[in-house]
Amino acid sequence: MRTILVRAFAGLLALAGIAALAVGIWLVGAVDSDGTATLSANPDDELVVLTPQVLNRVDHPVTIRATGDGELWAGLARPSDVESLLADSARTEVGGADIRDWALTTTDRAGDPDAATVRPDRAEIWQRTSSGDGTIEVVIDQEEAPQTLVLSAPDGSVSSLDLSATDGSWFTTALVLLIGGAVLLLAAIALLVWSLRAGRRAGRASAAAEAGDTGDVAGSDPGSGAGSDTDWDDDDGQSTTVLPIAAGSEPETAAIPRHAEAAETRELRPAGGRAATRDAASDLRPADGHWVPRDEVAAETAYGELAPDDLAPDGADAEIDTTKETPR
Amino acid sequence: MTRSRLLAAALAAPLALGLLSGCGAAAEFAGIHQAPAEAESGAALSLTAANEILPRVLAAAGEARSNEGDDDARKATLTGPALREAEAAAKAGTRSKEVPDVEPQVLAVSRGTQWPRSILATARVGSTQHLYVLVSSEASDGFRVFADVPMAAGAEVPAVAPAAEGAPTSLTDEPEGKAAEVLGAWIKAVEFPAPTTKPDGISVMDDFSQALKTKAKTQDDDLGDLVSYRQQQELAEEPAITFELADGSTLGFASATRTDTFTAGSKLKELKIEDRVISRLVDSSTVTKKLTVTHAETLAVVLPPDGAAQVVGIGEQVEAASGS
Repeated sequence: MRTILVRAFAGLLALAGIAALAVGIWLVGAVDSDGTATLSANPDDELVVLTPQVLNRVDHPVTIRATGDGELWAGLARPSDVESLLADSARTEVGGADIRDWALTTTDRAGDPDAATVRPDRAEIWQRTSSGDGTIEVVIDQEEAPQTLVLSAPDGSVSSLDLSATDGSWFTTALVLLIGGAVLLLAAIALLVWSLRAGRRAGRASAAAEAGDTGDVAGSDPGSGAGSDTDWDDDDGQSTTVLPIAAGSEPETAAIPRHAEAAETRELRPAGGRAATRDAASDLRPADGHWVPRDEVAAETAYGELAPDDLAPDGADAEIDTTKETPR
Repeated sequence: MTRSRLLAAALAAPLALGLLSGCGAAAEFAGIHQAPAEAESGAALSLTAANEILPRVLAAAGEARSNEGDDDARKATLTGPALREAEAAAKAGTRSKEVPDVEPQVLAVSRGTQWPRSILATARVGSTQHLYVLVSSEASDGFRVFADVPMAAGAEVPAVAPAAEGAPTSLTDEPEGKAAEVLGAWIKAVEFPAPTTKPDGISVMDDFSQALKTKAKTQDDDLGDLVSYRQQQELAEEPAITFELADGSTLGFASATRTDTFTAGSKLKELKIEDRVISRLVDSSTVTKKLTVTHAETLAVVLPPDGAAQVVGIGEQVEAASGS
């Protein structure tokens, strides 16, 4: 149960980390270091209307920069005034933003073909107007929000739009998300790895305990990993064996020096009975049912593993007195 | 479902909810919110916009009035009583009204988001304070001068509501309600010969009303028994507008027609017309039997919540004249 909880928690951490990381990467890529985010559109229409849903969503000034052919005109007015003015006029309406692509969403609104052509620049609904040749820039300070911006190019078209808003906290937020997400993800990975290793050890302990309970030791082999882990230390010639404890106990492992184990095994060796603990000696019970002395087994094992010719000292004979160099 | 899957689902559900709510929280954290709703009340247009519109429209109207032959220009910049006066002036060949020589001041703008919309303003032209009303009938229609009324000496207009709040206005096709009633009473009160019974609800003790009555009396005295002089007025079936003021008063503008009639007595040989405008309209410098002159008038009247109403301004222009 504990393993499941740990893995589930690691999964949650990983999800949160990935989400934060993804948003952080996306935000860092989209926001300038001064916190300026820019959304764009290419309406290519002679009459373009930007609604409050793109102009008045933040408390900071928003800058609209439009380019097009010929003289461009811009007017800011109350939304209901613009709707009254352009009710029957064909236009491109910019009414939202696709934040994933940092693009303004545009909608073509068909007008009434029988309606009289409206010249926005001749109406008296405007709070502020400006004009420019080929390029125009309008700053919306949000003081009179909600507002609608109308851009017109009587002799051409408004080809492109850039909407920029600056908030110094956006870039900081992006960095926090980026770093926080990475930390969460690494923590999740570490937790998952620890959990997997613990689970594997628990699994091995469980299997070994099961095998011990039934007395079936076939396939168990010291150092094979199925029943125990044996680490050989070449430096001091000592070896240790990780012995799983009896079934029903906590799946913890204990490292016991081989010589102690062997000595204890020798003392516990039953006369045809069952070993009290699973150990290397029990796995080596010969077919005739006689126990082999532990020190002999250790010598044989050590000889087989530690006496290749390439490990022999220079000039020395291949025959090594393993009983002195390896644990008994 | 195994226990582990059940546990995973139990943990995933709050996570999913957390992520979903986290998106909204993140947007809020980033300072992104819904656009504010548009206020239905308040001024129809900002004071800044009104101050930008006002001098431009007054200048255009002044130019249109100075060009007697340009009927389209007059209709593009004037409407209501102001257009009537301008057309009368063009017909009579009189000098156009002057444009303000100081920056006009916005007194009030209409309230709400609907049309028509209006601007009440004032400015000094020479030594006379004028009241101006500009009206826009629909979104695609720009503001035009609706009324241009010189204020009577000593007249006062109570304070208006702050421009940001807007003033409730009412634009009608002809004078209606209490304003029409009061103006009708005033017209009766200043008639010449004076009515035998004094109309109720209107004061004629102001300088302007007194001057009008005195002038008629003087005219009549000068003509003596040779000519019978009569002055009558009536409200014109022209658009009228009212503004509600801060103290509950109402400032109304309406168009009226004043008719001066000169009827020759039996001893009169001929009546010489000294006024060049009238003689041009009559196409004669003398009449022997009768002379009728009509004036297009624009009246500005203040109707207090309690007490008698008072005319605070009047603009007039000779509109027609006939004689025999």
